Amino acid sequence: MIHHLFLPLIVPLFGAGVATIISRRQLWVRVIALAATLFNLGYGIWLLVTIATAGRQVTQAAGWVAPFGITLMADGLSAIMLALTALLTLVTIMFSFVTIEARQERFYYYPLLLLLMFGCSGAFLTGDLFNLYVWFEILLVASFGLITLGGSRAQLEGGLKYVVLNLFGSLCFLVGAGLVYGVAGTLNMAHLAERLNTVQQPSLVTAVAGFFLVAFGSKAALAPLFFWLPASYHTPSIAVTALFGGLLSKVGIYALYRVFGTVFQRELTWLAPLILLVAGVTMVVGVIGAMAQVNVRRILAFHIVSQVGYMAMGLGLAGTVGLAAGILFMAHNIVVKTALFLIGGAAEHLTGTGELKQMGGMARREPALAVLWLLASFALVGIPPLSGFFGKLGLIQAGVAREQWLIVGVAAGVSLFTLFSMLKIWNEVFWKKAYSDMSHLPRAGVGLLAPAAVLVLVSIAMGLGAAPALEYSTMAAEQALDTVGLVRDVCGADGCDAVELAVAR
Amino acid sequence: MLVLIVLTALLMAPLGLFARHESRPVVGWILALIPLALFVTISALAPTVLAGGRVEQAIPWVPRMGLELRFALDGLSLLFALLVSGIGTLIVLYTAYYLAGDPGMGRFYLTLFIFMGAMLGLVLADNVLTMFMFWELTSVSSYLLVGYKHDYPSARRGAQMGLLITVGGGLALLVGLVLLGNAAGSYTISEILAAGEQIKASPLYTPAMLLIFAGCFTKSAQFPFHFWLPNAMQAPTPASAYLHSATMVKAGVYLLARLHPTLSDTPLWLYTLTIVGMTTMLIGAVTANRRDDIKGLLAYSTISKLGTMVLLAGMGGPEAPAALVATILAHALYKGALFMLAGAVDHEAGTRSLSQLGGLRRAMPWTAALAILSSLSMAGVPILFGFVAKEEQLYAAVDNGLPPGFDILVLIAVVTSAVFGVLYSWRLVSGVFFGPRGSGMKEHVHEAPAGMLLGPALLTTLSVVLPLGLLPATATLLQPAVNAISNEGAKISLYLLPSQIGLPLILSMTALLIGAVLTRFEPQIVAAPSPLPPWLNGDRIYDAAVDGVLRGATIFTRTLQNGKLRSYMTWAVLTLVVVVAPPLALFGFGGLALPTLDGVEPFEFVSALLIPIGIVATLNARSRLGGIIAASFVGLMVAFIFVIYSAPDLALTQLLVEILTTVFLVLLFAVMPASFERLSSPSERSRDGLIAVVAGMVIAGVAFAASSVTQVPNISAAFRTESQSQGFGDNVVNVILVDFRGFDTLGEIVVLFTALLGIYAMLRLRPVADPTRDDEETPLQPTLPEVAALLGNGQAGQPAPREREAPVAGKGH
Repeated sequence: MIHHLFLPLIVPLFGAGVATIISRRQLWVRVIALAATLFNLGYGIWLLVTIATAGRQVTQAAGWVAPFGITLMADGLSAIMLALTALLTLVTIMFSFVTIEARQERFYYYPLLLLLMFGCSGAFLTGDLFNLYVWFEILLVASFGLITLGGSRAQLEGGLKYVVLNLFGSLCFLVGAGLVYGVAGTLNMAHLAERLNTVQQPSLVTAVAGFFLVAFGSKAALAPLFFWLPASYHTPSIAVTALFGGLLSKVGIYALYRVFGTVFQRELTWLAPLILLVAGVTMVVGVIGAMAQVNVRRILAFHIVSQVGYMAMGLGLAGTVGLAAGILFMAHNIVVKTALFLIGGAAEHLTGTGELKQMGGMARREPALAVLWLLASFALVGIPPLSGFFGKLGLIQAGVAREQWLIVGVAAGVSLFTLFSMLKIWNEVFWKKAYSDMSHLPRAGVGLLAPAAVLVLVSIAMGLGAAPALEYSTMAAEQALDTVGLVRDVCGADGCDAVELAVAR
Repeated sequence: MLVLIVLTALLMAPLGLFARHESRPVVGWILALIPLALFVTISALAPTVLAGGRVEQAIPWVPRMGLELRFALDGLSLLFALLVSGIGTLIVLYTAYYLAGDPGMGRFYLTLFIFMGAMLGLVLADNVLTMFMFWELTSVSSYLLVGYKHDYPSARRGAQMGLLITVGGGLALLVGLVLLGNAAGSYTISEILAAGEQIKASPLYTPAMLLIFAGCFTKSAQFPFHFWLPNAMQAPTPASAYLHSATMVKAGVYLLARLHPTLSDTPLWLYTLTIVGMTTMLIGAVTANRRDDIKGLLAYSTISKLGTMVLLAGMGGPEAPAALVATILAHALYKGALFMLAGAVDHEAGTRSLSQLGGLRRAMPWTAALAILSSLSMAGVPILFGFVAKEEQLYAAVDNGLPPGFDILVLIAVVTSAVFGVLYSWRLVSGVFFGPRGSGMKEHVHEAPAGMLLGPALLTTLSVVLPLGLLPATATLLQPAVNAISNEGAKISLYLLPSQIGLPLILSMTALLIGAVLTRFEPQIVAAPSPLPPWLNGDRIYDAAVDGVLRGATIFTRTLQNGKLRSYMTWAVLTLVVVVAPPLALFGFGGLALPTLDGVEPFEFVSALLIPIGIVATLNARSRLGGIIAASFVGLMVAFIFVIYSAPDLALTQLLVEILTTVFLVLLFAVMPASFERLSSPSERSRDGLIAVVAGMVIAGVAFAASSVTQVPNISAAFRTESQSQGFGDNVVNVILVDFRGFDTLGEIVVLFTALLGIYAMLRLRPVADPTRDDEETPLQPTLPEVAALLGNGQAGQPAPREREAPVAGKGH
């Protein structure tokens, strides 16, 4: 009997394998992709409920007791990310049905999507630092495959920058993992959390933690490590951009939360001012970048950078309230960002270009699309009662409680510029008169609108249901910072050292 | 009940969409039932409030954030709620005629109802966060209404300007409210007010208040943010009349009045509001006289009156609260009417320009009569309600709470604005309805439809009737509002003629007289230079700011995101050094012995030494092939080290990867020029070299330190004991790879599998160059530039552009 935590990994992996083998049978490949994703979504929702009632879920790969084997574990944060990953993959697949070229489908588009979901899900479920590295590798390679799928020149250029800069992040991760093994003699997160709090060389551990900060900061696209993101996100097909936009950088944020929440919890208090500084700079630089753009996807890509700063702010506030707000903000942002890419992408798909200058007239021609855009973009800006407001309010409240005035001011101020560049898209794509005669262009069908509509509905639900969402993210934050509980759940009541000593003797 | 009132408007909003398919006025009559029902419901609650009671209702929402749907109806809320729903009813009716036949009418009604619900929520909220939510919602609905005619760039600009300024202020307000809530320990307004003394003693008081002021000033169009309001006149007139005159722009004043009871008696409050209010009042009054567009004139007169209200909220004194309440009511009555009448004129005559209008009293007698009466009220001419309110203002100004010297200044300012008020009222009436027939009007101008005149007629009637015998009743109605603003038991007593002739009446009459005289000099005053220096033109500053921000952002981004991978790499490596080096320096290596060469096998020594040589060789390689060989040399040495440490499977993997990489690179390089091209300058190269060396030293330092200080037992000891007994293998590395950590190995296999899929697709799936050809069969050769791009800065025969990531493009609006 396998433990349930393996299911969301096995299903997409097998799905990817089978879909690769029968890659020419379009219908079946689509069915497999859809089924695997639906399974993961259902599992994710089940896991959300299970963790709320039964707490952290833990199992050991191949049955080796922790800390010797590889631990799989899921807490509130993992469950949120797992469910959102599946949701995002699901809408992406739905959107792909109507937008992806058939030849890309034949060249393993859906298997790569499933492998990406596999990699992300694994990253959210592992309790082992090196194993996390492996999952990052999988999702890096899968995402590189998706970025370059289609083989256009722009894609290859973007893909090159994407892969080289991300490999640098991976390198830092790998070096950090080696160093942490050197210092603490283990790779299991629970075991590390237990040991690193007793290591006598705090500044050395801080230096090692620095490698992880750079590694995950690079994956999360924090300043000044974000260059790969705006360089590559506008090049692949719209569906891929939408999925990446919502998901990839947040895996980096997840890793920051996970690793600095427990493993380097003591270092977090040291590094918090640095993280807040980086968060503020990221918010500002990202939004400035967005203002300079004149292409829908490029604007949105820079906004990812800006908003990742808010999530880093949640970590930098170094406490349950801040982290809870950060998680809430991240969950909102994952949904809304992908929605925006899908809506902007639908407009791009219909118009045939994403250059603002050559677009227009969408408010009259596609009012449903316009309404979706308004809702999603105001949610992004943080206009209440849409979902973005609550994450931002939580961050501001936590910042005020910590008397971190500067970051509070930056977080509030950046919203205004976010609004500004969202209005730019609204003005140019929706309100402006059409650039050219649009009567021959296709109309948006249900297939094009439904994926974004699903996400917008989720965003609205997260706003109106902010109370349970916040309760859940608070629980998730408490779990993510609960070193004692982690060690107990993974290694037993006596701790990991006790297990190890028993074996060594 | 209060929640129901707010939700009704919001949830009924989609009913407005019925007007999409049915644009006859009858839809308006039916839709007007919604605000009418709200008006009646609120009126039904009035007796409780008039009896000194308070209606409250609270629904928890997000308790952890202190966000609660808490509503309370007191005198101040009652006044605003009645204005919002009452004028709202008239506006809905008016719209039915004003926008008759317009296909966008459904959208207009939808937004209007959302606004109405938001505005009701704003004035009824008893929780600052709830209030803020509705505050933002009014900004957003205002945006959509101003941009209603979004085909016109001016409408888009006006809408965007209004939204940016009010949301910008709103963000300040949000932070201010959170600070206020922190200082008070609660977000409930009544509790915040109860904690007034505690808040004033808190260091958070000043920043909180300044931020809240920023929110109020932007929303209520106070100097220097006032300029968005005239630009918002791009909205269809019903929206201008409703949002930008009668209700939304008073939200800032409302909040100031709301916080007034216990937070106002500080110099900060007194001086900030007095100075800003006074400045706005004067600038608005003067500028209104320089406007040619009648909606622009009305907008500036609104700004002036909003300034008066802020002044009244700020200056203190026993009469100020009563004057504030009276001014709010008077302004809503006459300005609402005048806007709707201006819309009627625009609708019938086809222009809003004073220089093109004239002599309309014959063609539009009813409109003229109503406009004249409301303008007289605006001018503060006796027996109209505007006069009564002005009396109150002067009373308050005479008896204000300001220090000597400053109090006279305020009094003079109030009188001056009254003088200019007479003048712009005169300009409006004489310019539109008297004089010769205007030049730019439609051929045949008719009276506006009765439905359009109904609302103005009702409001004008109130302006006329209230002073004629209903003043005591009005005072009774307004007293609870005064109570809500003042905690010192201020009383409101309205009268048409004071029992004795005092200074206020004399000043009022003087103002009328001077105003009347000044009407003779209208042309000179209209042509007079602006009181503000040209650089202080809000419109121009806004445009310059938008332009400057875009330009700055473009330059900044182009410099940073410059498309050069090598520059990105420099940032990345530099970041690593900056983050890791300081703690390492703090660590300081104190007491750590330098590593000795004892026990180092010759093999290890040689291979370790060969690695740097390989790196140097790679860097110095002149040809691609040389570079590849030198680089693969490094990889082979690493594999060799694995062999030394008895990890044959790792070494094998490394060897395979190395060989594959080399083959792949050689294949690709076969189609590229054999030699490298130098793209960076020598100084850049030495800078990058320095960074690389420092980074290498930092990593080596951390690695050395990490391996020297280990005090905790390493789990590899346990692995050694376990691998034989449990894993049944002699080689620990083997057992770790396939058993203990077999899960990692599974992952790595998937990495290889995924890479295969990606590479296969990359090699076989080419972009469609020629639609007639089956692209799957396209061989590798014709896509050299792509391959070159993949591998960086090479060229494929022709001089390729140096940087292929398109630089970020220029500005756009």
